[in-house]
Amino acid sequence: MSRSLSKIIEHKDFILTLSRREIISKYQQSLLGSLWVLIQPMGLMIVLTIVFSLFVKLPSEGLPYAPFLFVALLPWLFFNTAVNSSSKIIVSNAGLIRQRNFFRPALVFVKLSSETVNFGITLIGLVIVFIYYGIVPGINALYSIPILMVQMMLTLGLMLFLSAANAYIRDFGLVTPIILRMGRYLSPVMYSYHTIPDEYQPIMALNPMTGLFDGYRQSLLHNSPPDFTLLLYSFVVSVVVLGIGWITFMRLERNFADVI
Amino acid sequence: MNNYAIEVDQVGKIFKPQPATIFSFRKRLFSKEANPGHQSLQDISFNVSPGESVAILGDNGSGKSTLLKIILGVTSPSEGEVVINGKIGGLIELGAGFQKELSGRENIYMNGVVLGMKEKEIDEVIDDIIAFSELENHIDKPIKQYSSGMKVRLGFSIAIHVKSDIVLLDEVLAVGDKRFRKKAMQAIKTYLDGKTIIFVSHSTHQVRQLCKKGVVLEHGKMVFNGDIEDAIDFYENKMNQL
Repeated sequence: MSRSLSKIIEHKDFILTLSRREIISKYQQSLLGSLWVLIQPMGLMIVLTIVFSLFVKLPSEGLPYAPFLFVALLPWLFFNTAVNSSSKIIVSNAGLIRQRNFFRPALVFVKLSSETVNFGITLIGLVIVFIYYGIVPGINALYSIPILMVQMMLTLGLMLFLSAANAYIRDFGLVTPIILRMGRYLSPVMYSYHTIPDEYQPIMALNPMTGLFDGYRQSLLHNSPPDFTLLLYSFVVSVVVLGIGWITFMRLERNFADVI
Repeated sequence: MNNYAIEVDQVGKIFKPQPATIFSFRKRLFSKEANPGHQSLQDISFNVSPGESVAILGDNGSGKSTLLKIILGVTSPSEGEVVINGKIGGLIELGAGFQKELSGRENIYMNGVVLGMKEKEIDEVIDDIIAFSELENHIDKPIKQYSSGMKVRLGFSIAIHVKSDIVLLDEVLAVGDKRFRKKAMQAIKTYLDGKTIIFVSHSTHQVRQLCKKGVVLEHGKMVFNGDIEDAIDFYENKMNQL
């Protein structure tokens, strides 16, 4: 484990250079640049808010629906796009991989960091929503930072696993979007974890995203500490997923050039 | 105690069947023998001293390129091992790693970093790279607008600006038009001066110019290892027997 870490640190410059170039070039190509990243979640928020606060009224923990939704929707979209795009990472960099034996996990780190920057831009939308509804986060909002770290570990683990596995068996890339779409409804994004019937709550808690999304809401909207049992579970799952992802990637990495 | 630049020790490579076919029930039920995969290389051993130049000769499918990829570390051997002392580089799959949407300039950075350069090092040589590739007017256009010749020229220019001790060449000397090829050949000679070289080719003419020793492969096995003239004779005799 420490050997893996020192390897990552050794290739820090490499990862940083590639990430910066990827991010800059991405925004150079489109007219509106970073605005697009913001438009997608804002549009989705407006539609969902109309549907679930006007047409079908969903309980939203005593808060206006828009901020209630947005606090979980943005991290979900971050998770969703990062994991969804991961299956293409290795396959679409076939040329580079056949050319030289470089530190391959860097490709996954680059993708994650460019998605993280996108997520950072979408947070502008969250600020706008907070200002509009006059919500001022308290000191407990700081809990959202470690929660985000847990989420990113989970994301990275899944990305490592999927990018490597999909190089060998392309079915992974086809199944991922389907599972993610189901995951959106099975995670407390559009509804609150606390409004689902008690007998289903333990089942819901098995989803590692539950602790994360509920944690964001507790810390950012209610200014209270997150549910640490749920969060600990999410953390353990994330560590396990990250471990499995890393080992899988390093095992499969050696023969990428043969299969892509 | 050894001072070899490259040690290839009993290397073998088996290409496993596509993993997706493992799940193919029809094949499992109806074909009797299991599919063990394709043995591409078998028991290859040779050493290369620093500054030595070795040619790998062989027909198509004899395993030359696979051996080169294993030495470069792009793919791993199924058996045996390869030990490298020094910084390894190569003129292999030139221009294959370009991102279509990015400009030529961005691709120089992306490709250069992957080939082992630091961003600052690239800053220093980028003008030379652009000048050598003769793409001054196109360097800020996206790669998707480049012709295949332009891509290879850019790939070649980047590759010869990467510092390395050991250089692997895979039929690269067919770069661009006649005039550029002449220039490339010149540049390669200066670039390769004093370096350890492994050269894969069909062209015995180019091989003679560049290499002192030769290895001949046939169906994944090493059938000759020695002086380049003897290796070429051996290889040409083999071909004449057909």
